[in-house]
Amino acid sequence: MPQPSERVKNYGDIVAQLGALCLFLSTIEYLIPKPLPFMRLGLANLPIMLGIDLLPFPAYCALVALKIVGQNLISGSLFSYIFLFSVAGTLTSAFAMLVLRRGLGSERVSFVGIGTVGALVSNAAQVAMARVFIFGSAADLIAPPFLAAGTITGIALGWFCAAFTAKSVWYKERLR
Amino acid sequence: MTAAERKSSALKLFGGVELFLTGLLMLPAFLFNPSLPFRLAQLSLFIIFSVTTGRKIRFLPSLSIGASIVFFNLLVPYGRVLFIIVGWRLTEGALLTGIEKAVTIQGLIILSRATVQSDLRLPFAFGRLLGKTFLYFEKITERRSQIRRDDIIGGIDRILLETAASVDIPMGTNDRKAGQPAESTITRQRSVVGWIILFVLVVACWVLFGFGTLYDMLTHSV
Repeated sequence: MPQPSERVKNYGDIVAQLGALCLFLSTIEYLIPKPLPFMRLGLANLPIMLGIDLLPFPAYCALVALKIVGQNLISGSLFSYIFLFSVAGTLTSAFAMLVLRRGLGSERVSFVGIGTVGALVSNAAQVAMARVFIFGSAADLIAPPFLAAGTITGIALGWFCAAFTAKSVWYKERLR
Repeated sequence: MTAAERKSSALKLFGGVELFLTGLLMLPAFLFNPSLPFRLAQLSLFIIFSVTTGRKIRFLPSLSIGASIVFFNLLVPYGRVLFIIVGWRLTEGALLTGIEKAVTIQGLIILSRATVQSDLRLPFAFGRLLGKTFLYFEKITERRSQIRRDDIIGGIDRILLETAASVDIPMGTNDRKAGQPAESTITRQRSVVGWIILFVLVVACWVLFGFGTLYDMLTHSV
């Protein structure tokens, strides 16, 4: 049975390509003005969602790590408290989406479903972090609009991911 | 000297890892520079280094991306009102934030392209994966114009297909071809001039950061 590091090695090309797509989408996301510094649309979650059905668990973890490091390198928040928000949001959403998709199966839960759950979990984790580190109980005030915005962006990203997987030749070639 | 010749000279002069480390060392000095004029000076430094090492910089697309970043930031009014154009408030804070973001993103792209070259080999499995990711990122960024508003999915798909398997970094330790010298031998053969140039580059970047910090302190204390 191959060791975990060997399995990551075999999927290295897909992980690196999806990681690069995370970086590219992060640069696009960086350009969009946001009302709160840690608030994100979650565009860079698209490669993570694509990775759920393409990658084994160790390779998926490597992709999540690449996304966290790369996204914060691009936005310049690698050495700031925002990095903690990013770690909390990405880890919780990545693993919630993975558990949901693999637990229930792709025929029971769509990309829209996992996108919505991922965004909600990520935003809830970030509101909790904001409550602890920045705003205190005032974070409760930003929670409703923040979670509502997350639901909308999660549905939009999930819909885009579903459309992408339906049309993409690259994705179909790697799903085999 | 053509761009290809300059690129070939740079490959002989600088090792992939040294160049990547130079980029990593310059990155915080650029990102945390609080002064826009000095950040612009750092951007100029990156452009000069990029051009002299044979990297192509397409100024027109870069300027149009910069202009669109500034425009989108101007949509969220913030700070002193500079002008009112048909009911639209053009504010100083939004304008400066937009320019700062445009300079930052262009600087990051140019720095990434200048300091990631094809012979990059980072240590450990994750290092190699990160190196490979940056090389793919460079290739994706080069083809970004293929993504059009009317066919975003098709554009991303084409880029992924075109760049697939275009980056050849061995993920294992035994993938070196027979007869190919070890990385350490290649590094030793490289001229000390390369190290000096990279050192001067890092120092120059941090000196600009120091001036930027000083300038920011002085302008805020007045």
